[in-house]
Amino acid sequence: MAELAYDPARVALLRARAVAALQHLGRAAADDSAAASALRVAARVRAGIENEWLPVIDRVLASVAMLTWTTTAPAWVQGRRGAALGRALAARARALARDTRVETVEAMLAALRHASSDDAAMRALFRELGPDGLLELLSALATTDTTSTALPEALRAAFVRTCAAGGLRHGFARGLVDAAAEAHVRSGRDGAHALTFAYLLRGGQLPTTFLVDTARALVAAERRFAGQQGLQPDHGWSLWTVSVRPPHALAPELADPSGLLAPAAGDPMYALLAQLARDGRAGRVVFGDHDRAAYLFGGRDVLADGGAAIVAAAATAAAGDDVGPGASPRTLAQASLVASGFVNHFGRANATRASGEVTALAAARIVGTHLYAADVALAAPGVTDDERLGALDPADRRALEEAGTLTADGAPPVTGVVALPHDVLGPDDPRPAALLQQEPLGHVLDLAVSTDMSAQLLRGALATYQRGLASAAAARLAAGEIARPDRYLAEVTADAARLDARIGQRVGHQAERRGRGADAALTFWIRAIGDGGGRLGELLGRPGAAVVRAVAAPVTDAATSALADAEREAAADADGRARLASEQLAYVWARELHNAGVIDARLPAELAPGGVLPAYGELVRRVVAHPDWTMERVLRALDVAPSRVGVELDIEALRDAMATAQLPAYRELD
Amino acid sequence: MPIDPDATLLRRRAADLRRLAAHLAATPLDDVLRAAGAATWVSPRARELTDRLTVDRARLRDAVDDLRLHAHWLERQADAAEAAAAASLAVG
Repeated sequence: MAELAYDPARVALLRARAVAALQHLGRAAADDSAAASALRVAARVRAGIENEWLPVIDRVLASVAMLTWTTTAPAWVQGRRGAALGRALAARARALARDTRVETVEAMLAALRHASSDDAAMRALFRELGPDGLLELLSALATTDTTSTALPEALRAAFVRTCAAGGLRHGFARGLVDAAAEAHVRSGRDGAHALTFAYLLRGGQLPTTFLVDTARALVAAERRFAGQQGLQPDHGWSLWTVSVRPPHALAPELADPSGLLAPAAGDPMYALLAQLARDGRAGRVVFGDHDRAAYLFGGRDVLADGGAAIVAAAATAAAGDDVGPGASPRTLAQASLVASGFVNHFGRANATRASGEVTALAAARIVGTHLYAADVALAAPGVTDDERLGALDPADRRALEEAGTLTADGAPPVTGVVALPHDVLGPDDPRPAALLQQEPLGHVLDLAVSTDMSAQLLRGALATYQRGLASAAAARLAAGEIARPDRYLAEVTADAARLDARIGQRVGHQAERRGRGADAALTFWIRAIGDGGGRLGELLGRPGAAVVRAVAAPVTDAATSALADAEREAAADADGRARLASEQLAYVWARELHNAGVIDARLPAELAPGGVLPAYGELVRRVVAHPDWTMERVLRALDVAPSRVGVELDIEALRDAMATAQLPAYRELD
Repeated sequence: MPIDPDATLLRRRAADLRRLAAHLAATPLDDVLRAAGAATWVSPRARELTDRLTVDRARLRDAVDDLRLHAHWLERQADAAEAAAAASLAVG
């Protein structure tokens, strides 16, 4: 029975709506370069309506062609269901790989839609077809009819649904990898099967176990290829190089916004990394293996897209939403291990050549979440990794040796998670954290501050971290745990100031590298020292140092602004920068000391409601609203604030010491 | 609040991006998709067009999100510039 294929009146209405959308998109305009990408997307949507929708609608309105079309399932699936239906589909699908005439494709599409809600049929289809059959069919469809993607899209959707429901046979992932690799080589590297495999991975989210299996198989296949070809093991990625690429219907989905095929389109690893960037648990398993982490982060080529896919995948595993407050110690340890592998391998091999906003933001997210580890690694610049290793707790050292990350001859560990002490917390309270090597960490830091947005993200995380350190120190002082408060504070505040300046120095260098000039970047960096809170987290993903959450006290108030630059010109030289930054940082510490009850600044309620000092930006706003007060007067009040716990503290001296600690880093920029 | 020329420029850019985001977000693609249902036409080609427009709609939404993200970032930069100007007044 033929179905009525269209309603002329409704099609006319559809045409009117399509034209309205077309005209609306035609009015989209902006001069700002930041709008370029969005305008390209709008142009692409517009072109789709203009060049595809309207011609089809007009043809329908002008003819009766659609009356002959049918969406009823073909006779060979009628009356079948379950596994029998799946087997029938598989038999036709295998034949379809050799016969891709339009009518057979459309019949298959109708049959697939007819069966799509029958889970047993879908399981049987993919079991019968197998990974090589699926890949072969999709590749045949994509290379014989390079304009239609309806059936490949329907097949991919069914594949993803079946995979997510656990309906694929064990080993399917490995089978797909091996089939793609073999077909690619067998075809003389025409790239069709590799592109098809990447297309499959670019569909809906696949389950964790499938992704882990795929990653294992992909790395194994690449290494096997390298071995067979007599290449260095790290050159296994060259398995996917392409000689002559034939037209492929699925290529547009893997294209850049410009319409050109993305450089990494035919390398399935990038598509897999895109999946991992949405599944932190899978990423922690994949990158948690030392050997695989070394290959993916530091061996194999992963820079065809500027490093965006690998760094995004690492960021989700090491610093994703599930690596936050409430995460289990196991998850935090696994995330730290990924961070260690990423920094030590990617930092050494790739960070200096990586580029792009996405890459920089993801790197900033990793460092921003693992600041405790970074702080410890950077704390003693004169200490070598070997010396740090020598100071490790024997139990940690044994654990690293057992994990194979530390060789018996004492070579530096490649990756690891160890209990690291911090001066603020004291030697009796070490915290597990990623073991980061100084030199690669420096390269990753450079990447993390290489764009304005990524520097801002890291700034927010560091500000939160600094406040967490101040809060932890204030709590220890309030509890009377510290025998020599003045010496303790002098040491830990100088360390905090040094850390801020050392990263600030990199911000300045990166700004100069981009031709932006260091002054503006550093002014921003220094102004925002007092800015730490939730807003950036809501915007760009949580920047809070989750792995140091035990250190960082809850930051509940919205630190709404950045801002301690009283004289813009003063930040133009090292002394000015150090002085302004130390004032900002000293306020962060004085605020926590005051709020913890260590000192009493005796400020009026208009400035410190309920006796609680606000974030610096808020304080500035309150001072502006009260003509009797100036910031200078507030800072003086903090300088002379008496102690409530019987300790003598000299905030002014601390501020001077912080400035002194920051000077070398800022002088290096002048 | 003192007027900072940098902040004014940043806010103007942010406003432009937000204006474009609002315009793109108001693109009546939902109307097209609603009108393209099975009651209007049924065919593999129609389904293909609908599927593709659904993907395009998602891309357009992503682009709108990106524009708003960028605008938000520009506004924060403007906040910082203005607050710095306020701070200089307070200290001075």
